Amino acid sequence: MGLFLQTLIDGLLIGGLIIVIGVGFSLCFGVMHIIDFAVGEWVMLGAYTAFWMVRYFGRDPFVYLPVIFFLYMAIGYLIYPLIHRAVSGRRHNPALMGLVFTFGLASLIKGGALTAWGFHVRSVTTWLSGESLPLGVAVVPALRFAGFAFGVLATVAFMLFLKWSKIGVAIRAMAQDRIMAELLGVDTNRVSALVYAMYTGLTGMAGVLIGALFSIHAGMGLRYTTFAFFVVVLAGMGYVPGVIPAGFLLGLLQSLVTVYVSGRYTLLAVFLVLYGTLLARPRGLLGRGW
Amino acid sequence: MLQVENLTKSFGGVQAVDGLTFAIQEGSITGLIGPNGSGKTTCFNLISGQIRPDTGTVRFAGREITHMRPSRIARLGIGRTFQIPTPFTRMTVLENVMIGAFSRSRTLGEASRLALEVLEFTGLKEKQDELAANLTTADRKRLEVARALSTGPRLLLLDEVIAGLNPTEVQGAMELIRAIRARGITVLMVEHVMEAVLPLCDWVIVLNFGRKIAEGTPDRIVHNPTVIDAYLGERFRART
Amino acid sequence: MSSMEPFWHAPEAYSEGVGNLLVGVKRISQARTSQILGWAMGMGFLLAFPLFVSSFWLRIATEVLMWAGLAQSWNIIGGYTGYLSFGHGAFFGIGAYATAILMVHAGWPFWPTLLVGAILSALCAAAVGFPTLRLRGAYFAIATWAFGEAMRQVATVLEATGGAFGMQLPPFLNLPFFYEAMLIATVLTYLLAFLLLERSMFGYKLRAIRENEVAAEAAGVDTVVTKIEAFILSAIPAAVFGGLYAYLITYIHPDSVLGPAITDLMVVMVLFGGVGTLWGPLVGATAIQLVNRLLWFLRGESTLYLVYAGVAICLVVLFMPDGLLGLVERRRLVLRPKENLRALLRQFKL
Repeated sequence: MGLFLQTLIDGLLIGGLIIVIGVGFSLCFGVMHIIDFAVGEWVMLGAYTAFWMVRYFGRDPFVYLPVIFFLYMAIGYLIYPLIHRAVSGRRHNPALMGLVFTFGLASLIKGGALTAWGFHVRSVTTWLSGESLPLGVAVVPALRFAGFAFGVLATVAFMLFLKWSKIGVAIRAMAQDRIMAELLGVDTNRVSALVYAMYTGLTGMAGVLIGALFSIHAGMGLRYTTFAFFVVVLAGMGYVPGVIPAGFLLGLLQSLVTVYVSGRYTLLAVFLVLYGTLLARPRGLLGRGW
Repeated sequence: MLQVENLTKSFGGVQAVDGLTFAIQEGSITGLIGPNGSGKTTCFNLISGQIRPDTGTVRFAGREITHMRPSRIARLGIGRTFQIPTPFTRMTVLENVMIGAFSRSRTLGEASRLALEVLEFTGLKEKQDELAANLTTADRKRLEVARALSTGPRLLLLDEVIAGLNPTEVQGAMELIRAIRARGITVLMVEHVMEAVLPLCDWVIVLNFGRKIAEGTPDRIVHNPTVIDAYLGERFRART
Repeated sequence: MSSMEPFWHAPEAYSEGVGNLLVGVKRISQARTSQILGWAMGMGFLLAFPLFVSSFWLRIATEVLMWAGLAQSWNIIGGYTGYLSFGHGAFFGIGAYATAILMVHAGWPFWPTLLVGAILSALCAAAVGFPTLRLRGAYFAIATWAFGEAMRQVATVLEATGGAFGMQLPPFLNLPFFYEAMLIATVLTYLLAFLLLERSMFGYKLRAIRENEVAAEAAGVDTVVTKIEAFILSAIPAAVFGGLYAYLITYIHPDSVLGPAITDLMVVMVLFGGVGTLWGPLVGATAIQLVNRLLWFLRGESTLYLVYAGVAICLVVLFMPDGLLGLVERRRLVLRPKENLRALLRQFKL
């Protein structure tokens, strides 16, 4: 029973971290109708950036969290016009062209990472690595708990931002009715770029923690792209609040399969559930998707 | 020929169609009018299968078609046009109309012949090799009608084909609709242009807030106080 | 639930294809002698290619042919129908592993394994397509991508596939044989595309679906069944090429035949050459594969592959989404570099 509880808690903790990625990703889709195939690569980049920063400047990777957030926000903001171009204009099938573009972007980033940093597996340690936190019945690795705490904080902060800030209101308006928002004076281009930037920033930050928790290698993006797709399909495409239960579910699924079957089958299990959801409830478990 | 019973559909919190019931007689031209947002296009979408009703049934020629796929309904004999013409832009006019003819032909050649016949009937024959993207709005509306006709329908749903046309084009459209009826096709048309609806239609159904508020001959409708209140306005009453 | 006719009740594509074949034969017999001679000479030249070319070039030609065929297979679902399959490499891999497993574990001769690979991938395409082609294109993209990666995982964990270590096939070192086999497979694929997609009701329906699915549905086209048919049709050639490739290369492992690079290359080749055209895949495959080999020759790096494919995809989507053949309007090359650049700069508010 102890193992089961431990596994559950582990799963929930990881889920908290996945939710950060999922929220940005889902919002991206809800506002701009863009599915960013490169989501896992942003995670990978965040992880690697933390690694290199620790390598060259020392200190704990947590210190670099804000730096990485702003760095990847800037990068996302700069890249967005390209994505926008791919999606608009006199093109045919704009939504799918955006997909192809981000697909190309993902390959480009992954290939670049492989070429620049090779196949070595890296790791990053923080002051919390190896520490444990007794939590009632179970003992929890402190770092994992920190990841969860970060996830919760970041998600809450983001949700509050969406609810209370002026830009947040504009974003929500755009997600509901883009044309109306534009007519009411919302600069949809700038807001879209901001949404994308925040998403890349958040995802990069999540990458730092993921890098600290697990190993860092150029091919790690695949796993998180799969996770992001899973979360967003289960939540219902574009329905951001649904990401929270979906993220926890993913964490649980991943944890249970790793412990009770084998780590090699986790991705397969995730695919199966993803496929099943598309078969049975394509609009998400709560039916509120696109 | 067409029987709609107790149709309801809501989107989020908005009740688009509420307990709608009416029947269309074979061989008639029926008008479906009402203010914007009264549920006319939703009603069309429910009949032709683009969306599913929450409750209610749609029967066509005695057969229940409520939950069928749009393509199946089209092949059973209901054709429709869309309010905003949606041609296959990178295909020619002929090709656009051929697509509809596929469901009742066995070879490409046969479909092509059927399509040409429809093009001739709707007056688009000279433009058969033009890309649909290059057509004027009026021609696009014609193309919409042609494509709907090529499936060989027994009932044709026309969604605002006359709105936005200049007076000459309006006359042309009205003649086309009469010609369609002369071929034995029943017509149900959503329309705002009263100058067209009243002379054309044998029967008019008026919607407001998703409910039927009146139905009858054009003459009776025009003098119906509820209808005037909701839709036509006092000035129209004064004019007739 | 809607009443959907089971898709096996409407194999119009196939009966129409046969009908077209007969018409085609009739037309050939009626064609001008000069045209027949032209085609025959071309084919003869291609067939006799191994006789007067070094094995270096023969190898390159074999690869180009394979990619031309693979690209065309993707083109069927991605180009003509407009539904992007981001896991198409999986069918290639399924064919490769089917051949490998049957030859190594069951001692089968080569040719029948291709049939099994084809059937298997057709079934997979039906299984994946059935739930996802009822939904929008974005779901299909995700689902096929997930399917592709799932297949790679399966190949890595199963014992029968040799796991991450891959499989070794019985060696058959006869390059001219493989060249001819690839040539025939590619010619058949293009013939298939021509008969079923360029001059048929099926092809028109696919294009109608790509242009405006709702209108196509309203015009009586059963879009779901048609899409599933197209998807199955697109999976089969990919599997055949996979089987051929496995036998040719003699050693396969999950990353070599089920990796994302394969799908990437298929996509960029079709995009570059001209999406939804008959010859686009050939143009794209030739160009991209030749440049690829050149890069490989010059630098020998294998991971640069991915960067290069990624950059190519992005550039093509940004500047020539209709591909090379799409730039050719009425036999004139219509480039719009200034217009494109201006639009891009405007995006950056420069």
